[in-house]
This record gives sequence, C-alpha cells and structure tokens, in this order.
Amino acid sequence: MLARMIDPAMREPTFLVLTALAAEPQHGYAVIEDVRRITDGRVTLRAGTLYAALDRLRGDGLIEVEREEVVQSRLRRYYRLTALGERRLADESARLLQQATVADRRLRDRRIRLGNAPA
Amino acid sequence: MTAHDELEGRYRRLMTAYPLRHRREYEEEMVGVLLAAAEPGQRRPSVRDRADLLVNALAVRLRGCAGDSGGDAWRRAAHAVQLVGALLLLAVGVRRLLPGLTFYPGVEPLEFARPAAWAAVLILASAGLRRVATGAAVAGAVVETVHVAQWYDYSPSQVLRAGWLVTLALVVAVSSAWLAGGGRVAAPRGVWLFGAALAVAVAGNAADQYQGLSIFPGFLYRTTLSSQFPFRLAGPLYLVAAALAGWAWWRQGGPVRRRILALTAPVAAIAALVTYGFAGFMYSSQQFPSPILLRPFQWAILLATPVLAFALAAVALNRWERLSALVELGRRAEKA
Repeated sequence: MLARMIDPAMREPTFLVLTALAAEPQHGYAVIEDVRRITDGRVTLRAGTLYAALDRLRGDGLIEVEREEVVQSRLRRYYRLTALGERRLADESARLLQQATVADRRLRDRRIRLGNAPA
Repeated sequence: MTAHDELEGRYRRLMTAYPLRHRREYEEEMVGVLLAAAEPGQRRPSVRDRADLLVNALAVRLRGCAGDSGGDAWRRAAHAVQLVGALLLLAVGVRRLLPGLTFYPGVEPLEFARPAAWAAVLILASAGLRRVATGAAVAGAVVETVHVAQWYDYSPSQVLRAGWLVTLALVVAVSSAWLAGGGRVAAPRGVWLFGAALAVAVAGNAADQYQGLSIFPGFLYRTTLSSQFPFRLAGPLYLVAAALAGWAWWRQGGPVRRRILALTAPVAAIAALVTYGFAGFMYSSQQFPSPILLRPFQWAILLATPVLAFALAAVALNRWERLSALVELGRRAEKA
C-alpha cells in the first residue's frame, strides 16, 4: 500500500531502508531488524531484496559505506545516509505526510456527511 | 559437516545466480545476513529465501550494469578527481595572483580567469549543478590551455613545465562532462582532508620562497641555502601534506582508490615524460638565444601519452580486479 502512495521510483523497501539508515549507520542485518520494528513486524526484508536496494541506493548516491568490520570471520559493512539520501527521504516523507493528511481529512468529512462521525 | 556449514554451502550455491561483480561486492555480507537470520539447526534455505535470492539475482542481471558497482566506483572516482583537481587548479591560479609570489612583474588579465573558472567549478559541482559545472570546467581547461600556449613562441620549455596543469584541467573537464549525465554521485569522503593537504603544501611553498627556493609547476629551482637555514623548512610540511592527501585517498575505499589512480595516470605520465623524457630538450632550448620549438613527433608523443596512460591504467585495473575475483573464487572453492 505504501509503495503505491510514494513515488514509483522509490519503492517500499527503498523507503524503509532509507528510514532505517536515517537513525544511524547500520549493517545489513541491523537494517532488517530495524525495518521489522519500524513496520511493527509487517515487513521483513529478505537478504536478496535488501542488497538489491542497497546496491541501487549506493549507485544513486543516496547511501554510502561508512566502515567495514570483520566479525566472527565475516565481513560486516555499515551503511549510512548521504546528504542526497537525506534530502530524498525528506521529500518522500513530506509527500507521504501531505497525502496521508488529505486522506485523513476526507475520511473525517465522509463520516460527518454520512452522520456517523466518531464521538 | 555441521548444519551451519551445509546451510552456508547451499546459500553460496544460490549466490551463483548473481553476476560475478555483484557477488564480489556483496556475497560475504549477504551470506552473513542469511545465516544470522536462519533458525538454529536449519540445513536448507527456506522457500521464501530461495525465491527472494533468485528473483533479485534475475533483477540484478536484467539491470545489467546497475548491479555492477564498478560503474559507480568510476563515477565516484571521477567526482573526487573533479573536486580535488579543481581545488588544486584554483590554488595554483590564486598563488599566481598573490603579490610577491609571481616570478615576473605584473599580472595578466587572463590569470584572473583561471582561479575564477576553477572556483566556479568547485561551487557548482558541490551544489549539484552538474551541467553548469561542466561548462565552467571546459572554460577553465580552455583558459589554462590558452594561458600556456601564449608562451610557446618564446619559451617552449615553459609550456612543457605547465603540461601537467593543462592535462589536469582537461581531466577535470572530461570528468565533469561524464558526471553531467547519469545519476547523481555522493560527495567523496574527506574532501576537506585534500583541502588541508593543499593548505599545508602552500605553506611549504611559502617556506621555500622564504628560504630562496622556488617551485614552479613540475620543477624545483634550487639556489644555495643561506647559512642561517641548516635544513629545508618546507620538508616536514610537504611530508604532512603528502600524508593528509594519502589519508584522504585511502578513505575513498579500494575500488574508488584504484580508479582515482587510473584517472590521474595521464597527469602523472605527462609530468614524468616532461621531467625525464624532455630533460635534454628543456636544457638545450634554454641555451640558445632563440627558442627551439617542439617537432611534430614530439607533439605526437605529448598528445598520445595521456590517452595511452589512461588506457593502460584502465586495462591494468580491469585485469587486476578480474584476477583478484578469480583468486577469491578459488579460495572459496577450496574452503567449500
């Protein structure tokens, strides 16, 4: 549903990944966990989807690698939002908020019109 | 074989659906994430994970180069070269305007245009106005070329000395033109470190002036140090500048670092060619009352060298990265 509400160029996983990274630089698994928290468990990103999004976002300059670590012999790369990514997320967020506000106002008007406004 | 090892092996087999470059960039991370999300004792990837990996592998392959971080690394390297190159050219241009630092009296009007053009490139490129920045960079390259070319008739050696500056200006202009199309590129990390390195180098240059040593583009003219200066004051400053620049370069990450070297190979090649290949010409041209002009084959060598240097650097980079990928694959196969 969210994907239809935002710019087709920014799909839901993309929006959620940027939102997760807006808090702080995070590695891949932490992004998955954060997205699950943000969406109250509604969305669980899988590795293939996550890294397709990360790759695209890096290519577009919206995120970048902050640092790399080796934890238990495995590479762990932390990603962070770039200034461009921050602007893009702010634009999308503002647009979503504006549309959600309109939707909310129309629903309230509709309920009033139909005479079943909430108390 | 433990359940964990078996699961990892199966994930790695699924990863072969991705293009090689994507695997090289993300496989270790992805396998780590998949294993971290797996249930204890799980031996096989879930159906959803299999489907997710295969669908996204197909999507990455269909996107073609979009899954190839090499293209991104080239653009990031070009952006770093654009900004740092413009900064260096701006510093050189400003230095020539400062009173007491010019080596001939007066300042030509053209010399005001040089720093102005590179300052414009810096500001416009930083503001994301890529097309206008390209226009300014092309104008800057033309100004640099005209500025040097006007000396040719009476001092061809001066033209050779400034060859690296003109080459750098052209590299910045070409990089800017390439960056004008396609997606935006994030600002390179630690540009301020390059700026700090440049500031320290300028301080070193001022110290050299104070001690009677003058550096003109590409060359050092040494005079006898005064007895009150037992060592060259600028030495430590140049070392600090080199360390700062090296640190800034290192922070760009391996793929971008290597591409920065490839993009700046033409500048290094011209500087080396002039210093070592044209040393005799420059010495002899200064011994005669009328200057000796460059011959056509010398012009051909000078014009071909930057192009060849970049081509060789790009081929070497490509081979090195392919070889590294093969070694990595071999290592993983042995481990499996």
